[in-house]
Amino acid sequence: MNESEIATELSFIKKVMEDSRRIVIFDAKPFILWGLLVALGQLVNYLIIKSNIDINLLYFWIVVIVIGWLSSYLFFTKQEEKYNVTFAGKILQIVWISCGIGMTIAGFAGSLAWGINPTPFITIILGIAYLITGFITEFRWMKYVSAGWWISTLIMFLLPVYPSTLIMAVSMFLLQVLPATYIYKMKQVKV
Amino acid sequence: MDQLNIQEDLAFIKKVINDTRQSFIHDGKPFIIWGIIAIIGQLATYAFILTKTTEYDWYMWGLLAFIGWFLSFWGYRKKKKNIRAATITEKAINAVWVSCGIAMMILIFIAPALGIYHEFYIDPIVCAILGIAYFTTGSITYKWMIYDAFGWWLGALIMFIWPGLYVLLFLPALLLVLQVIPGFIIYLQWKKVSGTN
Repeated sequence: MNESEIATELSFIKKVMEDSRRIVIFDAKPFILWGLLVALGQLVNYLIIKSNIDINLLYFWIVVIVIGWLSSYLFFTKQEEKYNVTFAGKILQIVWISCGIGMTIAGFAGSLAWGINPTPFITIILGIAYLITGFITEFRWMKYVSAGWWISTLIMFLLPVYPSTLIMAVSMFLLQVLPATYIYKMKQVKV
Repeated sequence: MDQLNIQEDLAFIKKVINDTRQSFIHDGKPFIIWGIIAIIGQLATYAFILTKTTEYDWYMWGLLAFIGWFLSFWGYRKKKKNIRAATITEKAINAVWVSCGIAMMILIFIAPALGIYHEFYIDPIVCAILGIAYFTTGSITYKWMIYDAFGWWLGALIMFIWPGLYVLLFLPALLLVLQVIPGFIIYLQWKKVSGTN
């Protein structure tokens, strides 16, 4: 094996190592779905409060969250069958599942037990999820999305439930649906 | 180089890649340091409330947070000098704890300072966030940490459903069982593996 062949081999190995470590099939569909679902849910929530309709909001949100979790489950099962999910991809799945559990606990238990506005707790956890995703995927702009979620947390801390549902709907659209649509358009993104 | 040798070499390289990306040896020190700091803070807050001297509470938390971040940063710098480039696992774990740390700082300092939530309501959400950090860390590295995460989430549920002064004693108990003791176990394992005294 001459020097040139060794160099070719080494460069091949380096490429394989880089690819196996860094390539994630980052499909943004669940992000778009969750974003639209929650933004729509917040708008309906706002209208229910505004028009004094006698509907238990807890049951409404249980239906919304169950739809979200079921569709995510179906999506991830399908994705695992379709792609060979890389190690980095698995870490991202774990991050979003654990943040989802944290948000569900904070959202339901927080509002049920105290009757206070649970949305800032949810947005603070979304900030965590986006910052970690930004670190792993090396999408620098995701760190700004994370900062955006934390700024919206601070705004919502100061507002009562009624107007903060609208802020949450707008934040969901700007900080989740739009970035996810951008990633979706990039299709299979190498990160 | 014949075909057999190439195959053997590639198998060896593959093994090395897998070992590098999946093995993660942590010294457990940050778990112990932050656990002890938070226990001291919680118990001191409890004492401040009993003695009606809560005006000192935020100064104390500011000082404790400063000590915690200073020690974490100092430890990180020290470690960085001695090790090779971070693996994807190390990067992910760092990202998880830094982001959860920032979120907890916002909750602990900003929310009560704005007069939004009482301290009793901060503890359960901090537990929910610790659950996220432990679940992610456990799924990537030490599998037993996943049970630890469920302990945090259960603690969060209990405190969410029954808020009260007791949470300032309940959280230190959780910190001891779910953070400081596991931190010591990790530390002992690390000492054994690395051969440090």
